[in-house]
Amino acid sequence: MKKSINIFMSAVAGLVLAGSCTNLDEHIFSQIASENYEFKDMDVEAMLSSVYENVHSVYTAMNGLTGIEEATDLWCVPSRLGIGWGKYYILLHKHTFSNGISHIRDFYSSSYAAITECNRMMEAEQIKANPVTYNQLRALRALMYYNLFDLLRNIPLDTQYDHPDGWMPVQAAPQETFDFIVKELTDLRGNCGDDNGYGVVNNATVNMLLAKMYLNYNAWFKKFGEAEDMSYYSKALAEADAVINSGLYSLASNYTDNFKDDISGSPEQILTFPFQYPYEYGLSFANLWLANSNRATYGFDSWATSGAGALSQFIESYDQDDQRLTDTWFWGQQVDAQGKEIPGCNYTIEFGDIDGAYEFEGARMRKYEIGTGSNGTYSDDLVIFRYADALMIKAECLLRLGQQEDLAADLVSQVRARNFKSNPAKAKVTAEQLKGGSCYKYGLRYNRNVQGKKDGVANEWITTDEGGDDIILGGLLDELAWEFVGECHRRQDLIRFKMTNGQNVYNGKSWFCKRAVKTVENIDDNVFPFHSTTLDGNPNLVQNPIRNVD
Amino acid sequence: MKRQLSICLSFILLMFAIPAMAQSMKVTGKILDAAGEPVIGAGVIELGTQNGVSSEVDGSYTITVSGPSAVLQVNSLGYQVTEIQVNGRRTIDVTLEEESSFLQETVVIGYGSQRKADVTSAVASVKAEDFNVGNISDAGDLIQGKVAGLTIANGSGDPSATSTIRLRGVISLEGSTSPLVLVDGIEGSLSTVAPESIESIDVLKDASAAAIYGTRGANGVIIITTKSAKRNENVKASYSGYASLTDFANTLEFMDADDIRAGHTDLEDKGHNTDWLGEITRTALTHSHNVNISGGMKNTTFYADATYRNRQGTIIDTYNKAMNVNAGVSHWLFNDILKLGVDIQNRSTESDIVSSSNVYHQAILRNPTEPVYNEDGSFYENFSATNYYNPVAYIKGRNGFRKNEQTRVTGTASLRPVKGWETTLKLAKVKSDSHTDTFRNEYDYSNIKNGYTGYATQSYSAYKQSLLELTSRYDAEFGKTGKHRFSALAGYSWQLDEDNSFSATNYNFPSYFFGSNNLSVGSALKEGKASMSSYRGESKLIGFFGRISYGYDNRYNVLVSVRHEGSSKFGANHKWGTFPSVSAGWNLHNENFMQDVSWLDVLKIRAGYGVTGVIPTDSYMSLTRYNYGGYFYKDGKWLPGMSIASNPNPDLKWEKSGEFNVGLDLQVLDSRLGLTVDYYAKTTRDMLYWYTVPTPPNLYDQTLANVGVMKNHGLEVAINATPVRTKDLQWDMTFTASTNSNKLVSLSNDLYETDNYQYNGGFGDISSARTHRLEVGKRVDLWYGLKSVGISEGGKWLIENPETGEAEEYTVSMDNNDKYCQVLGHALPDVYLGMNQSLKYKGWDLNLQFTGQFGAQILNENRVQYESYYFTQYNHLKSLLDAPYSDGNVLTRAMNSKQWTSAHLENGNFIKLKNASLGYTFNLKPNDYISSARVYVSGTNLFTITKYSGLDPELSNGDLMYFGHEYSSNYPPVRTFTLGVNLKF
Repeated sequence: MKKSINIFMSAVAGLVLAGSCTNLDEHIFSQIASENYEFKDMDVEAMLSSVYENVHSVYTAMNGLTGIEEATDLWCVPSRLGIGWGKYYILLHKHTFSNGISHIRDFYSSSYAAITECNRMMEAEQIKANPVTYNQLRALRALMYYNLFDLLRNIPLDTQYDHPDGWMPVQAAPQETFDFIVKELTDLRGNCGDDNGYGVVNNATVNMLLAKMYLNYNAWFKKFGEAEDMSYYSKALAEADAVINSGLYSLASNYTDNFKDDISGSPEQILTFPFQYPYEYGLSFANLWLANSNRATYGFDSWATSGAGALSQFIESYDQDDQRLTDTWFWGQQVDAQGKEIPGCNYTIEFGDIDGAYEFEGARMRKYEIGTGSNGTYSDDLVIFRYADALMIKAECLLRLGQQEDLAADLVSQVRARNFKSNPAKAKVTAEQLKGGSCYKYGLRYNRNVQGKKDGVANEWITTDEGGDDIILGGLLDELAWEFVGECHRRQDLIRFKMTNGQNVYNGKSWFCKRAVKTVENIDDNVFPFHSTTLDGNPNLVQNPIRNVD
Repeated sequence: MKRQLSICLSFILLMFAIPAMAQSMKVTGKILDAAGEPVIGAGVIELGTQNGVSSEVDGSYTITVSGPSAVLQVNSLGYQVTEIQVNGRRTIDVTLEEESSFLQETVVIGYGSQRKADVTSAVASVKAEDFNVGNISDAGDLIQGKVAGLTIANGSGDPSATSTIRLRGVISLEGSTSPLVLVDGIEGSLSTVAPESIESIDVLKDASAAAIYGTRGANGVIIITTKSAKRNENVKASYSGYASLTDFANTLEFMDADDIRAGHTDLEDKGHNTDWLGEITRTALTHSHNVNISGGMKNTTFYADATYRNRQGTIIDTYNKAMNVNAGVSHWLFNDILKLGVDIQNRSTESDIVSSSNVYHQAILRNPTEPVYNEDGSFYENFSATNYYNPVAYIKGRNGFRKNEQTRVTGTASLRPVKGWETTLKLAKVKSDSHTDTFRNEYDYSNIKNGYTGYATQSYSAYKQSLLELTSRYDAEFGKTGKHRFSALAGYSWQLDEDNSFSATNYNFPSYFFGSNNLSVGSALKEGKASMSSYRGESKLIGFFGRISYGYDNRYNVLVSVRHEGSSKFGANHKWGTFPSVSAGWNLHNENFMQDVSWLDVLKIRAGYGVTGVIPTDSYMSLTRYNYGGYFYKDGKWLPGMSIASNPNPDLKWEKSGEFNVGLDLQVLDSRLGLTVDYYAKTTRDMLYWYTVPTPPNLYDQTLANVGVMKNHGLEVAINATPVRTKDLQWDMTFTASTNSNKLVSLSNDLYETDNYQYNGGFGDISSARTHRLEVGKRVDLWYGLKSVGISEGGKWLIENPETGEAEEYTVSMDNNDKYCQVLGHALPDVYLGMNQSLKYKGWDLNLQFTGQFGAQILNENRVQYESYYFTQYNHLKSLLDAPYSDGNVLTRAMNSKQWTSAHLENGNFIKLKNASLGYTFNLKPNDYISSARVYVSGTNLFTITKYSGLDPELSNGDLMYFGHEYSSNYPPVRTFTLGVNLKF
């Protein structure tokens, strides 16, 4: 008996000592864990996608920069009766900001995820050994900081990957962030190569980004009524000239050549993010803009629920002969792919109310080609910087500096030329026109009782007549809208362009349901508040002022 | 010197005594229990001597006593000690009386059992005879309302739904909140075995009991013991079966066709009159059959049962068929030194793939003036509205099944070389395979909308658990009649979980003929649009454990246990954790000074403290994981890209919960009135949660980390009483009540500092509004949103501005705006009640089971969504026409947001008659065929007393994010009537 017990006990002891019975090593099969895997060069290159994924989200996500254009006078996403939408989109449109706008959370987190990934990869030996990749990461990081700075201004500056446990950044002073971005870009200037392949940062990208930094300097830093530092326009002009004088770029013959499935052939594109369903999804504009039944026109089979619509005031601002009107927008009765009318699918330019609009109110955007099947706009390449922008920056700088104003008008006319094929004379604009007022009929314009119709309540249009005459360089501001709508341009432009009373257009004008601010603004009024999640995670962060127009 | 002398003298006396033994006589007989069954191993002692034997397997004994006037004392665990004068008899059969139920019961405490009198922690035990009867879907239904502090909800009428359970509040924000369920010692679920196979269910409520299960014990442990056979037992067979009819217990009142025509909605009159809910529902039939056979020989016992159950859902074409087999055989060798056992449990189920909640949802929101069919007999569809499809076509448009088969095989070998010492090796394998097959045919709305010809998915998953458990237990009694009772246990357990899954989808088939049986021929595959996925994962859990209990004189008991456990799921430096416990009990009724209190049967005080852990649900969370998934563009090609899946946390470790429990057991008046009270206080530390972290430096704004502290304390009361006990009539009642208070103590530590509140909750589809706020210092289930105080003349909500107290007309900028949001109440009940009434009169028995909950506010999502003109394309609740406030104003179309307000929070108090049954047991004359027969009728959900206007105030959702939401997709509760029979042969 005793013997058998001994044998048993030694078996137990043996089992324990053998270690297999206390081994808790984790075996992972369907993901790669860096703790137990040696990365190969191939893997390191594959990690570039984690940078791009986040960079792309910053621009193309429904809540990304393209979507944040809802805060401007071009288009909006109303609460669609019986469908949905509204909510944060309404807050953005009305400038009734709060700490709960998910657009800002998503923009912030994607931007910093891209920055963190850049920081991480720039410390890898394989990356350091490859200057093209290294510079590309450095430039993309600067691009991310530029966007963050523009939208939020008071942001943490994190430029390395390794930090002690528990490290939490504080916000850098705006000047510090500005200087950092400019220094990074100045270092890269001329060192990135002229052509690194489609979709890759090049010298002109750096010039464009620097130009934007300089162009907006005064809007970012000068207080209300404070004199502008004109030298920054000269600096911006020099960067635009560098792009123009490189001789590498020219305008595409058609406006639409820049907004297609594949625009690698466009001579105009400087930096483009390529997209191709199902590999990498780009813009979800087709989903956002099309009514469900309208999908039949394009043979589009992904979801579409009639979210966004153009503001009628913006559509009315176009010249009828400007092809960009119909290259960008469509309305009226739609037909299916066979040319048969789609019952009920008839969009009106008129918009009732952002708080409740019917499915077919508002013109729809088709600037980005709508592909068949699941492609929609997912497969469209997204141009970030294009030659037309360099020309417009140059024109703006010249006009602001009061130099060579005719050349400025000529540059704008060059950009317009391809859009007035039926009436080429109209393509030409004069410096006076550009320096004059805006033709956008600013003012409130909504029907407070749009949903009251069914309750038997009469329409009640709320309108104010503010117009655009008092906008300095108003003609140029209009040109920027027609050319760059849907390209994450407008918010920055509205803040940079001033009215004669010193206010910027972003705050000082009303459109649709968005009311003008009557009080004198603070430069902080131009930035968004942080989302509560961002603040929850880092108690060091100080909230931006929350301006609420209501 | 003196001592030597006395030894010597006694020796001499002993020598003289030998002749006296000539008068000795042999006594034989049988020891039987009240039912006439033999009692094995009973001690038979000649009083005042060391002379004793124990009874054999047939209950027989033979003892040689000193003379005809000797006195025999018979004792056996669970029976009263009996003394008998021999009086010269040579044959004496003894019938033992059972000890009072409190003392004789044994309870299972994990890796063994204990006499209830020795229990030192909060353990509740429910035996088969006390189970609920009727249309029982799983083990949870058997004990609903019977254990104080255990809430069990089966709020859904879905035939495949299972119970959700929670014990003693919410202790974790991220880890599991469900108790560990062990079926015959191996991890399982409430539906692992058929309810008919269950012998008893024991619930380890406090940490001093559950700590032996270490990391899985923090939410308590439910131990399910299946039926088995005894040695030397006649072979028995029995049948039990029932048939049930099920219908919705209540439904919501939506606008009908006349209301549409009266213009109460924005829906167009399509000229028909359709009761959509009626079109998709039916009275469902369930039938269930169970046969079991068991018996035992001298050295072998066996048990087997089989249960088949076919449940229809109240929604047409929904069903769940289950076949359970549970069998075991045990054999004793080498004069009982070695016991070998093999047990097999197999469960196979098949159910539909209809998403009942989608179908139900489409039926209630659909325009009642639309027809089901077009004139040509095809399904009528109207795709102009969003997310809107014919629910009948939806059901008919999807074919397929979901099959699941689980097999558990357990082998045990127990070695008992000497009395009291038993070493058991248990090896088990659990295999669970599931297969889901879905095919969308030509009626399917998504095929029609997308222009697909057929859409098919096949998915398989396989789960495997391997378990090795080695335990060694030593029990000993010393002193007179076991004055010192000692028990020690040591053990080791090793568990490996492996998961594999595979899934493939293809569409656009050349013919509908194939269904999903020829996946490759769909054209989507050629176009690169078909999808395929696979996964493999594993985790390991290893534990060393020990327990010592000691009882002195049936008065004092102490128990100490410890488990040292490790899991592969944690970070390299934190894999192991130690979970100790200590508890003690004092049986005051056995004290000398209490002996004169004749009305008192039991008075016991218990106290204990233990530490348990919570394990994260997923593996690999501590690692820096990269997914290959995305693509990036390089030189004209799309190359596979890799990205980090989540913020890594190498410090991930056990969430630990320390619990103090103090309890009192009281039985008086011949055990006709009993009371058990327990108070507990638990503190969870290193609480796992997806904490909001700073970005930068983190990649994602949330990390799973051990940061917070949460406290729960509560009181549980269970009362049982027998007001009437006569020969023919017995009336028993039990009453349980529990309360729990919860407080979030901290959400920060040295590494993770966060603001002291976080937003939580939401609606999913309906709205992006958040509904809860987690705030340090407050309970976790606070409603946070807009407080409405009336309706404006213009037909919008009037919202109270918490700063000014003024009512302001709703604007969209109030949504999720801290300036307007305030705490509106809480979502978890303060008090849970259960009550059972049982009446037996001759052959009749009547059982009524009530449950109730008090103090919670429920968010009625149906009202948020359908008591609003917002969704113009959907039908509305009739109550939309009623004024919610005394101002008499009603909401109009001007209220153009789907915002929820305090008006949608409702008092969730209720009392429910959950289960009622009436049975009759026939008084059969002894015959060769049937030994007993009982028939019964039962009903579930017979009535609910509540002010809540939604479907069912008894909510089952266990997700912290959605506490207190009655989902608008909730399938209505069902009412069931059952006719059943139990036969023993």
